[in-house]
Amino acid sequence: MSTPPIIQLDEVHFTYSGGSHSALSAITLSIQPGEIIGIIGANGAGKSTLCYLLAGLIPSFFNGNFSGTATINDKEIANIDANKLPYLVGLVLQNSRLQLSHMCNTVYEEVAFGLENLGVPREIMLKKIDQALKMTGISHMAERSPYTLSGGEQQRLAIASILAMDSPVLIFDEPTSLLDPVGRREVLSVIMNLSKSGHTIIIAENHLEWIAEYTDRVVALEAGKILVQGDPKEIMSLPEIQSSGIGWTRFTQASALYLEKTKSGSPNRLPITLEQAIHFFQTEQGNHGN
Amino acid sequence: MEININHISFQYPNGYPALRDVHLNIPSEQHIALIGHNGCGKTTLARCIKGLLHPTNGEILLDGKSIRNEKISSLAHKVGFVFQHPDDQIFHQTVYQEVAFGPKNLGMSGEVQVEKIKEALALTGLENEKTTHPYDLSLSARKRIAIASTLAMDTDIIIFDEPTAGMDHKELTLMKVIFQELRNKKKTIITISHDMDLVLEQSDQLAIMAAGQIVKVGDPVILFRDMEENFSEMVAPQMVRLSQRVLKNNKTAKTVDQFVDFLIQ
Repeated sequence: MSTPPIIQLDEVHFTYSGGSHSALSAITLSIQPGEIIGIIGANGAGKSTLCYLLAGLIPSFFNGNFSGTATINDKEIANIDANKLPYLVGLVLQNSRLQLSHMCNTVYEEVAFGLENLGVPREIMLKKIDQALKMTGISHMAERSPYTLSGGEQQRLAIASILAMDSPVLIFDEPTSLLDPVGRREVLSVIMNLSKSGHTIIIAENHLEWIAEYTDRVVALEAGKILVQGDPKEIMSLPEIQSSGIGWTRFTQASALYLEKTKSGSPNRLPITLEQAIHFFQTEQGNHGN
Repeated sequence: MEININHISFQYPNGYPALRDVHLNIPSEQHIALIGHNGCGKTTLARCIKGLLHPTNGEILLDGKSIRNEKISSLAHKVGFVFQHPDDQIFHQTVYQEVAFGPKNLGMSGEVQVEKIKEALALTGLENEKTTHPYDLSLSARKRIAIASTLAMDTDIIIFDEPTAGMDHKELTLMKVIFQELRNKKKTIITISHDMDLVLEQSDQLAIMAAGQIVKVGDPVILFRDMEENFSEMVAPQMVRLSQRVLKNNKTAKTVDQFVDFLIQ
């Protein structure tokens, strides 16, 4: 490939200190600038650990046994200064309560917190805060206390405080698991817009249909290892995706059950998305003269 | 146990009207789902049923009896509540102690207690984690602890606030088994959820809330089928979308199994 990868992992192994098994093992992964990558896996498969690693929290922040190489922009992640890291990569956590500073009285201050710590000039700071609030749809709550927000609003605040720092690589660890369908759609569309504006996006999600529809590439984890990676619209109906506890979309489930009940031969590939499923069932029904 | 929510309103001390004239009947043994945007009052309503909040106006009846003057300790025998964030309800050193806390406080006899705890741990897949510290487990496992501690109290009504948030496929499958078991035990279930696929599959009745009010109540299949009218800007459950495009005669399947049955009929 012509462009050098923005993130490169080679044979990465990591065991948390005191952990009895590797949280990540033999992870080799190359991510191109501007890609949007989905990370899927059963809980405990290593999704969050991989996010922490890519965000530069391993091995510096989480103690443990690390081997292999992990680079962002050709720099060893472990050697990047903590105050430089936000200019390269931002992480939005699964639980917004862990993300908030617990030191700010308003939404606005919360979004300002990271920028203040980086010593960003005031003029630029104000602009970035407004942008981040707008993109996450929480401008009208700027003067409210973060702790009076509902779960979903709080999660959007957590995202805003990361967006404000404007890192080229953004990592989302199940960012929508507590959002309502509208909030989820808003956040996911924010993420898609960030992707279109050139950010490299890595997103761990349990929402398989979204991953299948919108990511360029999906990395499936099982017990800390990469089980399979590739085009989500091709690989997400593989049997091992189901057996590893990741599961299939209901579209895949329905087609597998249909084939089983009608004892039809199995096609090359089971459908994953709605459009693929419609095509599949129309073809099947046509074949059976129904 | 039947629940009558009789024109209740609730105002938080800061004056925010979280519930406005909510009226809803939940027949005994029914599974009702509450859906709506964050901040629409779902959790406030659930807290009123649990007796954690008292309606400013109106009243809630359980099997015809108002809970207005009922003590929390007495309501605890009737209504179980699984919080959205498990860490809001977990405070013991081991999984077993955590799950045992509720039954113990309800004054169950030793034998019954042990039996209920055992059953709850088995149902939530935690029988091998009895001596584990809850915070040595993942968030989703802690969620299962919260569920187990509520199940162990064996209340007639169980409220789940976002039970499947953050759960993976395996845990979702487990959750469906738990719902089925509760159905077999003739429990009345209230589930607050943003997972439309789950709501469609599991609930008998669906109540849509907006801005502190119930705006629509009915059969989930019918409400989801008329999705655009009822929930502008929401995505319909996968089986509804697939049914609409593939099945004839306006049939709509609730589950994957039902979809395939409709198709090969």
